[in-house]
Amino acid sequence: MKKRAISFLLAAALTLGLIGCSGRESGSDSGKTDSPSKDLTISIFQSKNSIIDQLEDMAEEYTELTGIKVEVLGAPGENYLDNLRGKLTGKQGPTIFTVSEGTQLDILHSYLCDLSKEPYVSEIAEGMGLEYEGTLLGIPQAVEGYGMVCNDDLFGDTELKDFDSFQAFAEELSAKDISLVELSDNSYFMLGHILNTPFAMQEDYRAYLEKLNAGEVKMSETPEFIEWAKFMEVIRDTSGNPMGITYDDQAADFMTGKAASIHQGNWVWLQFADYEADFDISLRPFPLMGNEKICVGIPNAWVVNNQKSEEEIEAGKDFLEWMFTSERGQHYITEEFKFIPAMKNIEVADIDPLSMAVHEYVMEENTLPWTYNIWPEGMVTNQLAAVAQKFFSDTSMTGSEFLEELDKAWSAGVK
Amino acid sequence: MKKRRSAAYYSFMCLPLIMTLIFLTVIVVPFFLGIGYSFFKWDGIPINPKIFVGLDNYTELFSDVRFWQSGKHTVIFTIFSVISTNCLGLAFAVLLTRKYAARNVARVMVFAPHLIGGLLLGFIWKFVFSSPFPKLGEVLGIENLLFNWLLNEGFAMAALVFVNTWKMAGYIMIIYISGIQGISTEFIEAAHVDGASAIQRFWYIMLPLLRPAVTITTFITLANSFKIFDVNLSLTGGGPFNSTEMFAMNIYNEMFTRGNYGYGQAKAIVFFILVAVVTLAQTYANKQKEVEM
Amino acid sequence: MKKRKNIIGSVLLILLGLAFLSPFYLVFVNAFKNRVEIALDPLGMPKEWSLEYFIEAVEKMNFLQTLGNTVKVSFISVFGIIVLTSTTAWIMVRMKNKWTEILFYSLIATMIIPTQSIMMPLMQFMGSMTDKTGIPFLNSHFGLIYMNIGFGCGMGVFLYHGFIKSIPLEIEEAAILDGCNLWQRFWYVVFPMLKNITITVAILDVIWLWNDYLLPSLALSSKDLFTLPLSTFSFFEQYTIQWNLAMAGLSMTIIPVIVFYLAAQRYIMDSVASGALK
Repeated sequence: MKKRAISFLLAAALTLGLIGCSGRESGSDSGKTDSPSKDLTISIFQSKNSIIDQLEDMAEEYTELTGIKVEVLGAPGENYLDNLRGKLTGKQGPTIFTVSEGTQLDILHSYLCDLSKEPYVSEIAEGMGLEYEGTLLGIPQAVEGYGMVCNDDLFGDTELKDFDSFQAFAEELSAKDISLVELSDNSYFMLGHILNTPFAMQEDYRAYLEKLNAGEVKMSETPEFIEWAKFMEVIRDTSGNPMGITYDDQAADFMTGKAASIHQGNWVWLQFADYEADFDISLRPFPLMGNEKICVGIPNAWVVNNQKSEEEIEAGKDFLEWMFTSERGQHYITEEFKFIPAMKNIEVADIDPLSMAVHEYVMEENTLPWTYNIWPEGMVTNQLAAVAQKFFSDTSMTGSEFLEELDKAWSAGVK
Repeated sequence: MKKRRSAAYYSFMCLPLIMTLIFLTVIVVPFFLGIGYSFFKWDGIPINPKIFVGLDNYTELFSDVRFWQSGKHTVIFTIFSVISTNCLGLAFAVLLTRKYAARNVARVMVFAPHLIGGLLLGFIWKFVFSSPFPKLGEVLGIENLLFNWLLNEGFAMAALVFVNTWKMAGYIMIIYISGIQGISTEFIEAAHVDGASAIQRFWYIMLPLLRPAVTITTFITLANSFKIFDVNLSLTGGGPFNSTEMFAMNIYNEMFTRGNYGYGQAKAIVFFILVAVVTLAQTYANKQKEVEM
Repeated sequence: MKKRKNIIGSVLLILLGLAFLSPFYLVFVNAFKNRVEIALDPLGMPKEWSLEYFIEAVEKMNFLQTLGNTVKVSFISVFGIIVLTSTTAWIMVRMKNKWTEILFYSLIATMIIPTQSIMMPLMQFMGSMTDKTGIPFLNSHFGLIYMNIGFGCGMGVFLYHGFIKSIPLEIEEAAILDGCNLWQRFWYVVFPMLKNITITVAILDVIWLWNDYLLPSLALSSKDLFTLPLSTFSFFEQYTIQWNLAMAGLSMTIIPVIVFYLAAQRYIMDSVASGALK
C-alpha cells in the first residue's frame, strides 16, 4: 500500500506541478481560440531594440484608452528574423510585426494583410510604402539614411568632392595618425552599406542587378565600381582593419578624435549619447564620382499578420491607425522613438542633428536608394563579407583583384 | 506470485514510460519530421510553399565544397578539442582529489567557466582577444604570440579550441572526480604497499578503473565538439574568411541565412549520421574495455 | 620536499586562477562603467563603483520575476530529469532486452543530434499538439519544462546507465530476498548509491538550463515568462552591445549558480568522506 501511495504521489506531484504552472502562467493566447472583445489581446513584435521601452509605454496608453490589451513581445535581441520564424512556426505569431524590403518581404509576404484601404494611406510619402506586386502591405516605420558621419573640427574647410581630394585628405590625416573613414566588423558596416553607393548610382539599378545576377555584366568592368575600389584601397591603407573594430569601437574612435569620420547612419547618434562631443557633427555624402547624395531608405515597415483571427486583425489595424493619426500616437513616433517619419501628416520633432540632416536631404530629394534589399538572400553576410575580410587583411590585394573576387562571390551566391 | 507484480510494478514502470513519451514527442517526432523536410525545397516559413524534390538535396550536398570544408574544420577542431579537454580535465581531477588545502577553491575555479552560457562566453572572449591580447603583446614585447588571434586563420581555430577547452575542462573534471571517488581506495593503497610509484599507480590502477568515466567523457567531448555552434557563432562567426565555419554553423546558415531549409535539413541528417557513426563506434570500443565490477 | 611542493603548487594555483578567472574579472569590473569607459579602458578598474547600471539592468530585465522563472523552470526540469532518467536507466540495466537496447542507443543518439535541425519541427509539432490537446506546450513554463526534460534525458540516462552498471547485483538480490518490491528496491537501495552521479547530473543540468538561450527564446513569447538568459540578451542588440548592462545582467545571472555549485560541491565532499570511511 505504501509503495502504491508513494508512486501515485510522485507521479501526481510531477504532473500537478507541471500543469499547475501552465494554468497560471501560460502566456497570452495567441489567438487560436477566439475570446470575446473584453479579453482581446494583440501582440507586437518588431526588430528595433532601442524603442522597446517606449513601445511598451505606448501600448499601455492604448490599453487604457481602448481596453484592448496590447502585448509587446520581448526584445528580439540579435536575430529578429529567426525569432520571428520560430514564433510563426509555433503558431504564436504576433498580430503586428515589422518587415524589411527584400529578403524578409520575399519570404513573409504571404502573411501580410492588404493595408491599401486604410484611411491614412494617402499620407505615406511618395514611394515609401512597402509594396508587393502592387499591393500595399506595410506602413513605413521610419526613414533612415547613411553616409559619412563627419567630425567638422577635423575636417575644417575641406570638402571632399572626388577621389583625388579624398586620397589627398586621407594621406594628410594619416600623417597625424587619424583615419579618414572608419568601418567596422559587421558585414554591413564593413562592406554592405558602402557597396550600395556604386549600385545606387547606376542608371537603372534594378536592370543592372538582373544583368549582374545573370552574369551579363561584372562589377570589375563597371566604372562606378572601379573607382569605388580605389576608394577602398585608400581606406584600407589609412584606417585600421575593420575586422578588429566593433560597432562600439567605431563610435569610440570617432568621438575621441581618432577617426575623422565613420561610414554610418543617423541611428548611430544613440551611440554618441554617452560621450561629450565638443565638435560639430555633420552627415556628408560619400564622394564617389562626385556623388552628393546620401543613401536613404526605409529599414522596416509595420505589417499585420493575416493568420490571426478577424477580431485581432481589425484590432491590429486600428492600433496602427491610432499610431499614425492620433496626436498621442504621433507623439510617440517622433518624440519617444525619435523616428524620422515617412508620413506627410506627421511633423518631424526635435531630433538629433544626424536625423535632421537626413530629413533635409530627403526634403531636397538629394537621396540614393537602398539597393541591397533586392540583392540575393544572404549575399552580404554569406558571400561578400569573407571577400572583404580578405581584402582588409591582405594589403597586397589590389582594388581590381578585390572586384574580381567580389564578382566570383556574387555569382556563387546567386541561387 | 503474480499479485506482487501488479501495483508497485506497474506504477513504477509509469516513470520510464513517461520519460519515453516525452522523449518521443520532443526528440523523435521532430527528428523524423526533419528528415521529411529534407526531401523538400522550402524556406522555413510555415505558409510558404514546400516543393517536393526527392533526393535532390542529398545529391547536391555532395558537391557542396563549403559544406565539406566546414566538415574538415570540424574534424580538426574536434581532435584538438577532445584531446586537450580530456587531458586537462583528467589532470585537474587527479590533482584535485588529493589532500590539498586549497582544492575546493581550485575546483570551483576550474569549473567556473562552465557557468557562463555559450553565446555570452564567445562574446566575452572575443572581446578579450581583440583588446587585451594585443595590448598585452605590446607591453610584453611578444607581439608574435599575443595579437588578436581572431584575425588570423590558424590562430582563430586555436582560439576556438582554447575557449572550448576553457569552458569544458571543468565539466569533464567533475565526471572524472566522480569516477575517481568511486574507485575504492583499497586498490590504490594495495598498490602503494606493493611499492608502486605515483605514476605507476595512476597508469596501471586508476586509469583502467576509470574506463567507464573515460567512455562517458570521450563521448561527451566528441559530441560536444562536433556540434559546436554558439561559441563558434559568437567568437569567430565562422571567420576569418569562413576558415572556422563548422558543420553546425554551415547548416544553420544554409537553413536560415540562405533560406534553404530543406537543403539544410538534408545536410543536418548527413551530419548526424557521420557523428553517430563515429561516436557509437567509439562508445562500443570503449565499453568493451570497461572493467565491470 | 613537501614544502617546496606546496609552494610550487600555490604558484601554479595562482597562475591557474589568473588564466581561468580573468574573464570573470572583466565581466564584473565592466558592469560598473559607462559605455565610454568600457570602450576606452576595458581592462582597468572603474573610475567609480557606481551601482546605477546594476539597478538599470535589474529594472530592464525585470530581474526578480525573471530570476523566479529561471529557478522554477531549472529546478523542476532537473527534478523531472533525475527522477525519470535514473529509473529508466535502472530498468534498462536490470531488464536488458531488445527494446531497452534500442531505447538506450536512441537516447544516446539524442546527444548527437544538432539542436538547430530539430528546433523548427519541434516548434511546429508543439504548436499542433497545443491545438489538438488544448494543453499549452508553447509560451508556458509547462511546455518549456516538458521540452527540457526531452532534451536532458539523453545525457541523464547515459550517465546513470554507466554508474548503475557498477553496482553489484548482489546488494539488490539481498533486498529482493528481504521482500522489497520494485519501488523500495530502487529508491531505498539503488538510488542512495547513486548519490554522486545524481549530484553530478543535477549540477550539470542546472547549469545548462540556467544558461540556456535557444530553446526558451523560441518557446516563450511573453515577457513575464522569460528566463535570465533571454532578458540578458535583450542588451545584445543587432549591431551593438550595451556592454555595461549586459555585464551587470550576466554577473547577477552567474551568482546564484555559483552559490548552488558551492553548496552542491560540499555535499559531494560529505558523501565522499562518509564513503571513504566505509
